[in-house]
Amino acid sequence: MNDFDYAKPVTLSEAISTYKKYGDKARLLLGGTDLVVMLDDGVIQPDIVIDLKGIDELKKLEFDGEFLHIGSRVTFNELIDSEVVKEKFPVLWEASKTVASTGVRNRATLVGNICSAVPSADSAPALLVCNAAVVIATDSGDKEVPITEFFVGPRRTILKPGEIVKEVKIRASNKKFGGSYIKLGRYDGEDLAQVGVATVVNEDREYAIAFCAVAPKPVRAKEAEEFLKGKDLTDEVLEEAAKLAVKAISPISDIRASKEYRLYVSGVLVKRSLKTSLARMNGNGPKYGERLV
Amino acid sequence: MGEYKYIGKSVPRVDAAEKATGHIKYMSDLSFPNMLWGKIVRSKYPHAKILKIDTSKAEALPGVVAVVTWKDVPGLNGFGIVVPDQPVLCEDKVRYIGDAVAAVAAETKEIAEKAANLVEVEYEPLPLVDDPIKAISEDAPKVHEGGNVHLHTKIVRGDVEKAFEEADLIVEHTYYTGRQEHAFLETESGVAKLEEDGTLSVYAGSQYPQRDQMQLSRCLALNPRKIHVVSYPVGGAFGGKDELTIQPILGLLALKTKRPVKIVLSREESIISYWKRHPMIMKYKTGVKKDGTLVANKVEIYADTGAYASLGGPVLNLAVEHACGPYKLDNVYIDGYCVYTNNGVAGAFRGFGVPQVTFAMETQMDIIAEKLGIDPIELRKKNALRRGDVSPIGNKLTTSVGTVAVLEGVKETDLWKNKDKIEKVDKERPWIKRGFGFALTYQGTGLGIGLPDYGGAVLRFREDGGFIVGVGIVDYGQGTGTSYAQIVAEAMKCPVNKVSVILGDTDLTADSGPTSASRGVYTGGRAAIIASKRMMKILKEKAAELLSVSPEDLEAEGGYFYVKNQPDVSISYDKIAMEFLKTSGHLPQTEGYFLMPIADIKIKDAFGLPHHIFAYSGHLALVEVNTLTGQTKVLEGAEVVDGGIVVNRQGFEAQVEGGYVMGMGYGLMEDVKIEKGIFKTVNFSTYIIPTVKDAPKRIQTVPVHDPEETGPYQAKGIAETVMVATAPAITNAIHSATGIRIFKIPATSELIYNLLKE
Ligand SMILES: Cc1cc2nc3c(=O)[nH]c(=O)nc-3n(C[C@H](O)[C@H](O)[C@H](O)COP(=O)(O)OP(=O)(O)OC[C@H]3O[C@@H](n4cnc5c(N)ncnc54)[C@H](O)[C@@H]3O)c2cc1C
Repeated sequence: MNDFDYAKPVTLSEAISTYKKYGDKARLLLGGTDLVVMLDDGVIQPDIVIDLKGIDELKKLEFDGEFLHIGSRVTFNELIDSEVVKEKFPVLWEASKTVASTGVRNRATLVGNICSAVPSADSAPALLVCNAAVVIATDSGDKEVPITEFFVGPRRTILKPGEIVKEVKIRASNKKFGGSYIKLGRYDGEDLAQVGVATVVNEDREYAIAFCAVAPKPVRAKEAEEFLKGKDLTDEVLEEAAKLAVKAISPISDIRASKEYRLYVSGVLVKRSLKTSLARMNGNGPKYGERLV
Repeated sequence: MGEYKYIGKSVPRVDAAEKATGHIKYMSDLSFPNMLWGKIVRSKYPHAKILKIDTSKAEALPGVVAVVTWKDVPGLNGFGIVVPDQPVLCEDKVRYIGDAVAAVAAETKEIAEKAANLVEVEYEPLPLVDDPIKAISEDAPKVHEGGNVHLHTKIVRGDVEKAFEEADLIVEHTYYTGRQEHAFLETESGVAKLEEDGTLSVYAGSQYPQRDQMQLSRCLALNPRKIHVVSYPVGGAFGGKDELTIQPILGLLALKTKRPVKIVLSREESIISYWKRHPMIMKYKTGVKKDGTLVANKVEIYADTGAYASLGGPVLNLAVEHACGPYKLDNVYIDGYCVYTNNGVAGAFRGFGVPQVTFAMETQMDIIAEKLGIDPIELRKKNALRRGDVSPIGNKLTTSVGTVAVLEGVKETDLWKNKDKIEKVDKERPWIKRGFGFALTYQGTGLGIGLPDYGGAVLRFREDGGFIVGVGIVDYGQGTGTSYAQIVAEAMKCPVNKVSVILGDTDLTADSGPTSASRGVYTGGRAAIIASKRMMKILKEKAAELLSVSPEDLEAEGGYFYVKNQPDVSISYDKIAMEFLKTSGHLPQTEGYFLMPIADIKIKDAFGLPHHIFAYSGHLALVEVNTLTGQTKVLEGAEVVDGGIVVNRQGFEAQVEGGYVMGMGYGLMEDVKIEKGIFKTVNFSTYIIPTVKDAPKRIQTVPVHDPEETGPYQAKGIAETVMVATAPAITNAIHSATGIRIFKIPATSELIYNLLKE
C-alpha cells in the first residue's frame, strides 16, 4: 500500500471540487469493501482518498410514492432492513441478501457495488430488470443515466473524474408483477457469483431478464425478452427463451467456473428464475429470499 | 469410566478465557522496543537458474538495516526434517515460485516491502516439471541433481496376480486428490531477538520447538543451547507448521542486525510459500470373492511433493501403509513414488497421506458392496482387521483394534438407523436428489518404527499446592493442553484448575517429540503420568512424615492426603508445599520419559513402517445433490471414533466436528490450483474453505473404544482420523444420490455437472 492523503468532506460540492482538483489521482470511498482491498493489493495508488461518509444527504433511503431513492451511503443491510424495499422492490431485496455476508453488508453499499462495476456485481441484474437510473452529481449540476448505459466494461463505468454518484433511483411498478434473483456461487460461504440472473414478469406478460458474471458487464437479454412478450411460459417457450437468453452472454473461464459450465447453468437458472417470477406474480411461488435452485 | 474423576468429563479449555477475551498474545502480536520488520524476496519463476543477485539498491534505501542472501547463511544452507534439501536462501537455482532468494530488515514494514522489490535477481528460466508421472521418466528435466524421484517405496506380500485369477470380481480405477491448504487463522509469523547473553530467541508458532532448535542451530551455526525457541501459542497449524518456515530467515536477520526482527506473512505469501497436502494419483486394482472376501489389492501411488522433500517421504510411506484400509489382505502389491516437481511444496497435513488413499480404497469398497449386493457395513466387517491379525503390510496387530467397535457403533447412529427413510427425491424440487454414504478408516498414532519416538514431561510442585506441567508438545487448537491438565489432576488427585500447563518452549518444557501423528495426548499424557507417580510418592512420603503415619496409610483426594478410615486426619497439598519450602528451601520437581511401543517387525525399504497403535473411525454423510447445477450440500454427518478412552468429552466433540468439516472441504471444494508453476488461488476469495453456512446442521459424534492398555488412561489419539474418511463418505453418498461415481476430489459442482452430463 502506498501513502495517500485522506479527505472527509461534509458537502457534495466540496467533494466534487476536491475530486476535480486531483482528477484521476483521487479515489472515492464508501464502505471500502472493494476500495480498501484494491489499495491493500497495490492495484490502485491514489494521491488522495475522498471519504463520502461525512456527507449527510447521501444517507437518504426514501420512497416518494413513485420513486425509490437509494443514496450512495445506503448499505446492503439497510436495504434488507427496509420495509418498502422488501415490499415494493423485492428483486432488489432478494439480490441484496446474496451479497457477501452480514459483516461485509454492514459496510458495503449498493452504489459502491455498481461503481466498482465488476462483472459479478450482484445488485446489477436487479437494477437492470427494474430499469433503475443513476443520478450523478457534477460541478455543472446533476445528471441522470439509465443503468443500462452506466456499465462500460469490466471495472469500467461512464463516470469521469469529478463525477460522483449521488443516488440510484427506481420507479415502483404499478402493475402486478413477480420477480426473482438467483445467484450461483461455489459454496454457501461468501463468494462472488459464477452466474447471477434476475427476471421480472408482469400481468401484461412483459418480461425482463438480466445476468451478471457471464459477460464483460452486467447485461439484459433483450432478444429473449422480445420473444417472451405476451407469451405464457410453456416448457417449449421456456426452452426457446433460455436459448435466446444465453445468446446475450459471453462468459469466460476463470478460477470460479469454466465458460462451458457458466453457459450451461445460465440456461438452467434463467428457466428457474422465470418460473419462479411467474409463480410469485400469481401468488403461489416461494417467498422472496428463499433458496430457489 | 466411573472410576475417573476428571478423565472423560467435559472440561472447559484451560486457555478458553484468554482466547475468548483476546488477551492471549500470539507471535504475530508480539512487539519489542527497537524492532525491525523483515520481508522475504521470493522467486519470480517456478524453475530457474539464478545468474546474479544485486542487493545494492535495496541496501541504499533509507530505513533499510540489512539485506541477506545465501552468502550470509553461516551454517548449512538447508533445512528439512528428513533431508535438508531446501535452501534457507537460494544460491544458484530456484525450484518453486515461493523459494526464498533474499530477505530485508528495515525500520518499517513499508520500507521492508519497498526494499524487497529493489533486490534485483537475474534468472535464466529452466524447463518446468509440473506433472509427477512425467517427472519420473529418465529424460524429464530435473528439479534436483539426484533425479525427481524423492522416494520409491514398494511393499509386496503374497501373489496378487495369482489372487486376481481366483477373484470373482475385480474393480479397477484411478483416483485423483486435490492440493489442500491448511488455512490456519494465523499465517507464519514471529519475532527473532538476540538477547544480551548472546542467546537467540525465536518466537514463532510451530509444532516441535526442540527440532526447530536443532534445525536452526545447523543453519545458523549456533550451539543449540544458544537458541531459545518458543513455539506456543499458535493460531492453528494442522501439520503446516511442523517443518521450519520463516524461522531461519528471522534468525539470520536478527543475528545480522542485532535487533529484534518481525515477520508476518500475508495470506498470499503464506499460501504460495509453504506446505500443502500432497496431491496424489492412485491406481487401484482390487480383487474380491463373491462373498465379499478381499483377496488382492494392487496399488500405484504418485505423490507430488513439489520442490523439496520436507516430510514428503514419510507422507508417501503412510499412504503406502494405509493404502488397503483396515482390512485383512494377504496379497498386496503397493508401489509408491514421491516425486519432485516445481508445484510449490507439499508436506505434513492432518492425515499425512492417509486421506488420499482412504478416498480411493473406500470408494473401491463402496463399488464392491454395490456390485456384490452386500451391505457396506457387513462387507467391511467381513474383512476388518481384528486384534491379533496381520496387517496388509505384514505386522501383527497386538494393540487395540477398534474396527468392530466402530462398525457396531455406526449401526447405532441416527443417520444409519434412518437411512432408509430418506426422501430420495425432493417432492417440491424434484431435481434435488438425496443419498447416504459411509466410509471407514484408521490412522497410525506416533511416528512408526525406526524414528526416535518418545514422550517427555516435567512436573513442578507449586507453592499453593498445585502443579505445573511442561510438555514440548504444542496446543495449536486441539486442546492437548487441557488434556494434560486433566491427566495430571487425575494422577495427582487435585482439581483441574490447580494444574497449569506450559507448552512448546525449549527452556521450560521436556522434549516430547513433534506435535504430529495424533501423538500429543499419548506421548505427553503418558509422560505426565510417569512424572505424576514420582511426584505422588514424594508428596506422600512428606505427608506421612508430617502426620506421623506410614505412607501406605494415606490416600489422596481433592488436594489432600487423608489417613485411611480416619478422614479427619488430613493435610492439604499447600501445607505440604510450605513444609518443603521451610525445611529444604525448594519444591520438588519430577520428570517422566518413555519410549513409544513399537511393532513386531520392520518393513524392509519402508522407513518408519509399520505403526503399532492405530485409531479407527467410521464416517457417515447424508447429502443432497442438485442435479441441475451439480452442487452438493451435506445435510447431516456422523462419526464413530475409537481413539481410545476420551480424555475431554467436549474436546472430543470439537475435534470430530472440526475434522468432519475439514474433510468435507477436502472432498467438495478445496484445491490450490497451480498452472505452469504459478499459484492461481492465493487467498480466501479464490481458495474456498467451508464456512458455518456450509457445515452440516448436525454432526453426531460417538466415541467407542477398544481399550489401549499402554495409553494414558487407555487413550490413543483422534486428531487425524476424524478428518480422514469424511471425503469418501460424502462421495459415496453422492453416488447413492445420483448414480455417478466420483474418482476425483474435490467434487465441485462443475465436476458433478460434467459427470451427470455423460
Ligand atoms: C469478503 C467480500 C465479499 C464480497 N462479496 C460480494 C458479493 O457476494 N457480491 C458482490 O456483488 N460484491 C461482493 N463484494 C464486493 C463489495 O462488497 C461490493 O462491491 C460493495 O457493494 C462495494 O461497496 P462499498 O461501499 O464497499 O464500496 P467502496 O469499496 O467504498 O467503493 C467501490 C468503488 O466505487 C467507487 N465509488 C465509491 N463511491 C462512489 C460514488 N459515490 N461515485 C462514484 N464512484 C464511487 C470507489 O472509488 C471504488 O472504486 C465482496 C467484497 C468482500 C470484501
